[in-house]
Amino acid sequence: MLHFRSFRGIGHAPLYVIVGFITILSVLPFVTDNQFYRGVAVLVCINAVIAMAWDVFSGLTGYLNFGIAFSFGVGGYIAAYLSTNFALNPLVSFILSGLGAVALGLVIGAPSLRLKGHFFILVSLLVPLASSSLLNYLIVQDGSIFGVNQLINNTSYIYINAVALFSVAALSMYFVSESNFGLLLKAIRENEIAAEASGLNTGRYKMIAFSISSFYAGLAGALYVFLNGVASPTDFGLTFSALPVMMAALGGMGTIVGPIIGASIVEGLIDLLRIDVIQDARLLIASLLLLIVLIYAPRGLWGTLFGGRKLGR
Amino acid sequence: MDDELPLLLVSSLTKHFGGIKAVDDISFSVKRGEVTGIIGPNGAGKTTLFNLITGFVRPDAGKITFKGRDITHESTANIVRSGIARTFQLVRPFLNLTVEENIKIPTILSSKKFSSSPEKIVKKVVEMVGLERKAGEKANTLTHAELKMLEVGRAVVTKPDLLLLDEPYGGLSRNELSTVTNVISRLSSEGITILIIEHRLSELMKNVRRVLVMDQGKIIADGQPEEVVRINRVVEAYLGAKYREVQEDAAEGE
Repeated sequence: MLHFRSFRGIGHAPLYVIVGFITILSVLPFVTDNQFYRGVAVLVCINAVIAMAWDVFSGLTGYLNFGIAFSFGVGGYIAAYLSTNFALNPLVSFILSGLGAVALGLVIGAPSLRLKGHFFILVSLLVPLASSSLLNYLIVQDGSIFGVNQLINNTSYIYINAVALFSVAALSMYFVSESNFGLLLKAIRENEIAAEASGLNTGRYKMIAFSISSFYAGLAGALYVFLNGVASPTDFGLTFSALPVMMAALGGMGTIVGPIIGASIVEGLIDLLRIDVIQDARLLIASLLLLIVLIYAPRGLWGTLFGGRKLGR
Repeated sequence: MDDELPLLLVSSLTKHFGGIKAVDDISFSVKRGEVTGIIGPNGAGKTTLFNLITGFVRPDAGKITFKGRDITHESTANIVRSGIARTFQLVRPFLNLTVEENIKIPTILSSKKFSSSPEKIVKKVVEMVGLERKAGEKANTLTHAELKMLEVGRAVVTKPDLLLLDEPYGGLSRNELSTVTNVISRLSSEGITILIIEHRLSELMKNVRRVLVMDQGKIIADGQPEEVVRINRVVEAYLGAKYREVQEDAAEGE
């Protein structure tokens, strides 16, 4: 096991990393017009956002959500539905997708957040899988599948949106994690009973954190659907639930910047190395990578250097 | 006039766990500024009483009034914010947060207007519980005694009206006892009303003027420490074989 001494007073190091990422993403189109690199960057953005969204709830409160694909999928379906049925400003339908993911997330989240530990994990795991099955059933029934208005399917437009979403998501969630509100979420993670004894209405705070998480996961889902041009039940699949957890654990849970690093490795590095494989093989590679990292650096890459926490309570 | 009202009024409080009467029709009141000890054998219902007062456990019957307001069915968060703080028998620190962060958390939630900035208050409390050298360290680096003090610091940082201490001396060595005793007397001198569950009678007696004795969910005695230990029923129920030990303990303390 590596015993890095955690750097003391790391100050704004995470902020510099985030700003660095935003800068690279912003100048990339001016450096190269290679569509492949652009595509990889968009996928890194989407994955980083969903991994950070996972982290802002699970990494901070300690409630491991193995079903963030639910919010991701809901956001995507709402975006697809709005874009095919109404002539809305894409930005409006984008935000509505996020809000819709929050609303549906709370319907599911409100009762399940009362569950502790393993029971919460089980419910979180099953909800998106059940949703996926239901949507598959509906497709068999009427043969319809949600497409997206082709006008939006413009690579430059998507690139700009991806970078904008990444920037807003990373900065806002980082500030959440560093704020007093974030400290209270960490108190829930460290000891929920002591948090209550300190005067914290833990139920309300968990719901707020869950809503922030669902919102950004929904936005990531909407962007993903615009990118693919179609919303499908696979958006609710295990891949989109498991990968964000892996990215966060790989980079360092509860750090917000860790998931960005995790996403860059799992999504970016694997793509840039042109390991041209299907998504499931990516999951396999990510698992092996995670296994190796967690053996030698159980707090994840960033977490081991700058302080984070181990997977699990 | 406010002084004449009891700060805490517990009436006919009852809680059963299955067939066990953990707290059985208990009534008592606590005046503002009092420091009261609660003693009794294991399983007497002392911690359950604390859990009921702080809303962690819901009573089957009875009523709890705090500062003239019925708090029987309030949530823990509301009860704490109305001015009751507690510690736990087994410490419950926020292990991966620093000592300062641990103590800061209740101040974020408190609705009270502090006289100075929260940072200063946190610093003062960290000093009071003797952890200033560890202020920036994570709680997982503290010793058991330090964690006990951290727990007290976290409970008192918001200047509660009523402080419930659940075995503050538990697991401490002889040298460490006096630190806790000093902190308790200091808190008491600041006007905080305190209820202390404790087994170490000799240490407890240094701070309390009144003792409630619990046995099998009931209060079997209530009075000054010297009186209470002379009541036969108390000696039987609680002290029993331990009586001599206690006497020796007391003699040693003098």
